[in-house]
Amino acid sequence: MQEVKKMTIRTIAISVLIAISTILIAYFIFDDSKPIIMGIIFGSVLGMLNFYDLFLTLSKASIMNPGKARNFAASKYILRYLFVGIVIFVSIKADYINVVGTIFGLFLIKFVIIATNLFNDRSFFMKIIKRKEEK
Amino acid sequence: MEPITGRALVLAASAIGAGLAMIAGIGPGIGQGYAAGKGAEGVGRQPEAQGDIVRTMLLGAAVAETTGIYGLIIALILLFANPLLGLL
Amino acid sequence: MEATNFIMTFLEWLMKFDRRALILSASAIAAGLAMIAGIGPGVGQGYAAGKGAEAVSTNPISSKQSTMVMLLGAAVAETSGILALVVALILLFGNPLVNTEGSALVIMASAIGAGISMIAGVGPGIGQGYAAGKGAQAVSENPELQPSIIRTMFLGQAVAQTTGIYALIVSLVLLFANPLLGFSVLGGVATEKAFILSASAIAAGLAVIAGIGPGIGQGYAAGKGAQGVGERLNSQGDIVRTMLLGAAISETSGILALVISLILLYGNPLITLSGNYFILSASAIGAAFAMIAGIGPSIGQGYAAGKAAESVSINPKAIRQSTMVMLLGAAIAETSTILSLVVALILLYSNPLVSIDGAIIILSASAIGAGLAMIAGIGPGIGQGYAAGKGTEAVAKRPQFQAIIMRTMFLGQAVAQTTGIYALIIALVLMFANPLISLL
Repeated sequence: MQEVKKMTIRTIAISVLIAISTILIAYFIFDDSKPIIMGIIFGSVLGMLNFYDLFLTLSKASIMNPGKARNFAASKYILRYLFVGIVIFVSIKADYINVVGTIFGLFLIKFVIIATNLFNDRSFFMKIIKRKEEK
Repeated sequence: MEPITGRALVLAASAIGAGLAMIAGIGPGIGQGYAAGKGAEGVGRQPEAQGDIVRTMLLGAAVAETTGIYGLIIALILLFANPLLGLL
Repeated sequence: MEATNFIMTFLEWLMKFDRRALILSASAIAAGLAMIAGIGPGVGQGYAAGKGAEAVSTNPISSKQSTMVMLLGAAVAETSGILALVVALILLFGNPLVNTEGSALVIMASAIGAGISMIAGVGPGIGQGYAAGKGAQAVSENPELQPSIIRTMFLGQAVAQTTGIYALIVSLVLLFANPLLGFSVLGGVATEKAFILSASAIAAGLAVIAGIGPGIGQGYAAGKGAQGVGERLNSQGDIVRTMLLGAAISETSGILALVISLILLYGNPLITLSGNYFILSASAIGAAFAMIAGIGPSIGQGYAAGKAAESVSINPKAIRQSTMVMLLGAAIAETSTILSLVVALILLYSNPLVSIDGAIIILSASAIGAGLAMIAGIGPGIGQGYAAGKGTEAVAKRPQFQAIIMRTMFLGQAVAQTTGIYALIIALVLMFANPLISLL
């Protein structure tokens, strides 16, 4: 399980980097950037916590019986869903946290996953460039 | 009973809309349950591949997770940051 | 319009509100309705994740390729959720209807119709997710064929998205280029027209929900196509062609639903018919309900298409026989949609209920009831399509028994159609020989 943990930590680290760069960009673009920055921090931290919880859930589920694994994963999902609901609610109610920033932070993990895993297979892209096909 | 204002009507309709939008939340729940079940099955068959199996499962489930959030966002916006009241 | 019943009393009370409040309320409900589409991608991507995990357990060495295909397919499956989100955000943050000129009732109904139509996104979400899962599985079994598998998967997924696009078109038309508001509204008769047009707007949105079926069916075909290409690359051309052929048949029900929707929007026959407006409005809703039956045949035909693609990889030499069985079986599966279309067209064009002398509320309820009854066509549609798929597979394995396989398949499909016939009988009775009005 060490490799999965490493991958999880790596994905979180990359999203931290992207979050920080987005914060810097936001700092320079917007006049009143404090709410947006707070939103990005808020959303990213909680999105990463969600991802780590998903990692723990699935690691535990993979050694259960399939039926039990299903119910376990589904019930933890509901808890995470409610948690995200509370996060967005807090972000809406608090003036100093921008909602768009929070949502961006929550979705950041998804972007990082797709970006790092779709474009990491060099052999695939070599094949496209070479356009070699067996028939 | 005092007459219902237009504002109250919009708020009531927003509550209904929020409830409807939350229905989308069951989708990823079903999907992740299936994924976990299949993952458990796979690990049962090949315990030494557990790392790879969990990795793939985790990536797919994380993608599915955020799709359910769309409905949640719309619901919470309708309830707590209603943009329609300003258009009245 | 006098207050003839509780619906009219409710509407009279509703119309006392400020016009902007009414339109914004309808938009709020519509935004919620549109987001229901989020179920599809959630289930589809979860299925893809599960299949990806299974694929990795089968072949851990190629886990990177399997994961990549899974994520690619899952990203495509996201589309329907995003389209629904866009419509919801338009309704909330860039509402085009609140400043439109025209009857408030029709605008409200257009908003709700626009929201309802996006629910069709459930279909492509599930179907494309299935294709992604099957693609991952195929890559785990044949990692070196990854490019071909991905291409087939994308092709099939693109086809599966089409009915979601139809729904989006109907939604955007209702929001931005609404043709129903163009009818002149003057005087007392006009409010009756407005009622019919409102019902037509909601019905237009309801009808395209049939798009769920082709989304699921074509997604299944895409997944089976990807799997077939992985198993037998040499037959790639035949597999893809068979897959597309079957997917095209599956599309029919979605297209017919779109046609009814466009008729209601652009060539509305009900406002020109003479007769009680209430009955005509109920007929519009009934016609839309009937077209929802299109979900069944398209899922069944998509299953048959997938099985046919699989059959090509099982036995490429028997492609002519297996394709013929698929076509025949799929054609029979279309019956339910045709029956529903007939009922819908009767309700729209030669409405028998307006000329019957009887209580208006009973006749209107009968119109809606006739439409609801035709939804039973989902069952035979799925069942006959399943029979067609299994028949195709059987012929691929044993081509010399084609005649007897087809006979058995036809027999079974005929039996499966019976419940759809029962529903048709009830619908026809309600429309033409209504027994309820004389009981009053």
